Amino acid sequence: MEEQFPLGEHLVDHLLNGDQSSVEDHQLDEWQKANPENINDLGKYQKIWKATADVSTLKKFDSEKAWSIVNAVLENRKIRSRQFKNIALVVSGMAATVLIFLSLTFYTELFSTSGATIEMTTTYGSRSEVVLPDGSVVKLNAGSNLEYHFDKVSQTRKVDFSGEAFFEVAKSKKPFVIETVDGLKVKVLGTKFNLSTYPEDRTAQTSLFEGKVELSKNGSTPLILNPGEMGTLDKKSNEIKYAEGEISETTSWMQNKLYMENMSLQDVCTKMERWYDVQITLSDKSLGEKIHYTGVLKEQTVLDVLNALCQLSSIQYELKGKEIMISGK
Amino acid sequence: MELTDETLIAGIKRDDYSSYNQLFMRYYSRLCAFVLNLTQNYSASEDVVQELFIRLWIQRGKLEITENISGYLYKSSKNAALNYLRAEKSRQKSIQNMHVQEWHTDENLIEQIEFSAALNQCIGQLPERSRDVFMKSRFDGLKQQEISDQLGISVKTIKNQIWKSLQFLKACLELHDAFEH
Repeated sequence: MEEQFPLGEHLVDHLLNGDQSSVEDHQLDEWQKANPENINDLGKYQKIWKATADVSTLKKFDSEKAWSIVNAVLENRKIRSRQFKNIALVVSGMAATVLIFLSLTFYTELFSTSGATIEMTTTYGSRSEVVLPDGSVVKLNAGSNLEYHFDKVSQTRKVDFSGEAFFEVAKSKKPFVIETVDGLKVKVLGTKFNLSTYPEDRTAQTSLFEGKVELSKNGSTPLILNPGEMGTLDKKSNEIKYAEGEISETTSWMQNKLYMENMSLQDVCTKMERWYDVQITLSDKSLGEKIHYTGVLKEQTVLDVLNALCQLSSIQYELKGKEIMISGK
Repeated sequence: MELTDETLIAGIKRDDYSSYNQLFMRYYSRLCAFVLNLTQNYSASEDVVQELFIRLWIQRGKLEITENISGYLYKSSKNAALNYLRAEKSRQKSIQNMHVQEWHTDENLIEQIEFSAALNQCIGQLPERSRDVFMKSRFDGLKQQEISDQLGISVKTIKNQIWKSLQFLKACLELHDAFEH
């Protein structure tokens, strides 16, 4: 119910006078008597008026600053336990597909506002997860490189990136900007998305799970993605546009699954080379574009994948160490 | 889209750090305000709540919450605050009388803090100009004449602005069911 201002003025005066409101106000009294609902409303206004004092107490606690402290404590713990884990993995001599933590420089004093650069690299055949000083978590697929630093001047979280990764960006007022080797800029505030931008691929692809991101590149119109949407940069034409597809399939690499939707043998081989750190040669180059696959592969080793592909199509393979030769049957 | 506390806790159990970050942002200042009532000390309150959250993440694997999440967090912060006070007591005897407080007397306080948190959100949604006047009159403790001088608007306009803000806040809080309790 919208009240008229003259009554509002009486009400505001009543609240402003606070406890000394012994002053008689006939208009306010009349209003209260007119409808029991009005007494209820007055109670609500008084409650709001009183509670604003507590709001100022809430504002005295800086959540963002506190988060950087908590995050730094957890980060230091994590690095320590990771180092033990790595040693254990090396000792047990597990397969190359096991996620291995590779290189992390400057791991002391990881406060979100420190200017230190953090660098992570995953070689072919390995994957990794890194927690950035601001609390963002990045799961890196094989053959990826990430450099993070907090730019004090522009108050921006900056990341240089190539490869593929799933980003869970911690919420903060400070923008999080990723620049890829292809010149694609991804600007986010707090969100989850997958970014695939291998230098040798024809396109760079972003699929958004939560939040909002903006894709841009010098000389092309920026594109804003909403959850469930996918955007690609065509590196040849420099065009950024929406792409068709199921976003959940873009993160299948995290579950060791390969979703193939009319994917050429050539593209499957490129993925396998990254995932398993092998070199694949096709006896006949045209073979790579001739055969296409649709389906999901969830296999543990490179041999499992190769055997599955051989069953699906008329190809065969020969294995010599890390080199694989594929030929038609 | 706001995720529920339950969803965030489920995320935390699955090692999802961003759920943890969201829960932290949602509850940090409220819990600090709550603990402040027990400790009467700003930095101690922050320490207590930060440690609580650090433990929450480290022990996420063993986390079992049967009651509602907010109740659990308030109760844990109270216990942490009492532990802090007990440790402090050996150094400072003056706060001896403070530690005996029943849980049910806290419920008014929690209700009050939760209401302020909702109010804080609603204040954030006020149009900038109304918010300015409202904050100045409520937070900065300025007299109407002083606000009038500062902003160059009449006292009558100020009252009108406050009235509009109050109506907006009431509607906003009703939408959040904040008056229910």
